[in-house]
Amino acid sequence: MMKRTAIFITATIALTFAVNAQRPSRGEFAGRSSLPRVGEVMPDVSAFDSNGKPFSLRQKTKGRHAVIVFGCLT
Amino acid sequence: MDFFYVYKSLAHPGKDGYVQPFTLKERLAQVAEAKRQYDTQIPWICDSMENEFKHAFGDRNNSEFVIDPDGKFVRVRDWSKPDELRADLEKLVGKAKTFTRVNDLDRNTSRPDRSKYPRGIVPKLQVPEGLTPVRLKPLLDQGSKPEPFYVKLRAEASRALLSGGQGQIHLAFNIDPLHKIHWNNLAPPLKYTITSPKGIKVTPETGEGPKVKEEADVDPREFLVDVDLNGSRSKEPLKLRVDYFPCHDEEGWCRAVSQEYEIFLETDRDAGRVQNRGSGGRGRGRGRGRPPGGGGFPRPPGTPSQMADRMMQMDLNGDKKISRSEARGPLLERFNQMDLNRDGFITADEIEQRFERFQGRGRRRF
Repeated sequence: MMKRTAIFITATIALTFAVNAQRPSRGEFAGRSSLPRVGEVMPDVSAFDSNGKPFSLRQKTKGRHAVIVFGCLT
Repeated sequence: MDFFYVYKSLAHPGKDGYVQPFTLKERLAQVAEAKRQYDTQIPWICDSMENEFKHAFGDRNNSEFVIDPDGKFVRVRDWSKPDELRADLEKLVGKAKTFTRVNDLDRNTSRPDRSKYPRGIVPKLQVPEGLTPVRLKPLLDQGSKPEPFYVKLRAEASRALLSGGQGQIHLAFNIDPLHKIHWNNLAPPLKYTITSPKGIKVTPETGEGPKVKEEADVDPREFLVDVDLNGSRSKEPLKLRVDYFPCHDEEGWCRAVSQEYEIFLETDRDAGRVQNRGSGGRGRGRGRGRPPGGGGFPRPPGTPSQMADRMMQMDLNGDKKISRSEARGPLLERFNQMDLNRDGFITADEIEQRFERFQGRGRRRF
């Protein structure tokens, strides 16, 4: 029983490290939450092109590298 | 390799006079304005009015992502850093044959139309500290011929109201510059009327804007109302009706407009943060608590946005960024530290972000 508990705790700690290892450094994220993580698949969310037509970024970038930058007028 | 800009809700509504859009058509008009001002060839994607993109990608103002051909994130940054991005792309897909910097491009950038800015004809209202924007629902499809919301309400509630049920709401009616209207001050001033659910007391329930001597202006009309929920846990919204008289000089009309809103006493995470309100207050909501007092980490005087406003006075040519030649004093000494994206210029956002981190360090350390 003790051995099983020890294995469980070790596995939990290892998993925690593995998950945290995927987080970018604090300098990149400024310590805030909810940014996607490296290795995650980009979410397929609805948006529009600049003419107002529905636009799927996932479809558009399939098979290619893509850079996405957020911004606004202010 | 494809590049995309995602146009999201405004980070700092009120800056350059812009206000949060209410409709997709209005957000697309802001995209067109951004394309005009920045003169970029990179395609713009417009976020939905539910802000699905912003939410799914982590709610940041200027974040940056690199996606691999399988659609997976390979780089994630909460703030765009062009030089680091360039290095990333060289690692991922190899060096570019031609090395091009922003300054090498023959861009015909333009600036917002400052003639449409509020000019301080109507003095700004002193508002309490720590206001949090609350969710609004403009009733867009009312009447047989619905009109655009030429004037847009922004409502912010005090912490005391949101947490304790008794406090204030700041109502700001801002002209949307993309509709190109102004107040008709020869007509009666803007008037609001609030109808509250049973048991909830709003004081005053009606209010009228100031009478202004100039025939026309574009300054916001602001009000502070006291709200007492009297222990009510009702989720029903306050209902607000506003009557005002706009004029559109290019289209040659002046008319009476009446529009309605529902105001929900819940935080709107997409409303952005107003800068330079002149209240002397600290940052609004979003976890910007006051650092503990008494000998802590030295923090700069004022909020990050106030610091940014002060420092942006060094922007002599009005291009909304400070070059090394414009920078003076401590800003010049720390130019490289402040220029977060290393593009050779310091923007208000970079100053804010720097001071936010600075103040954040203070909180963590003590």
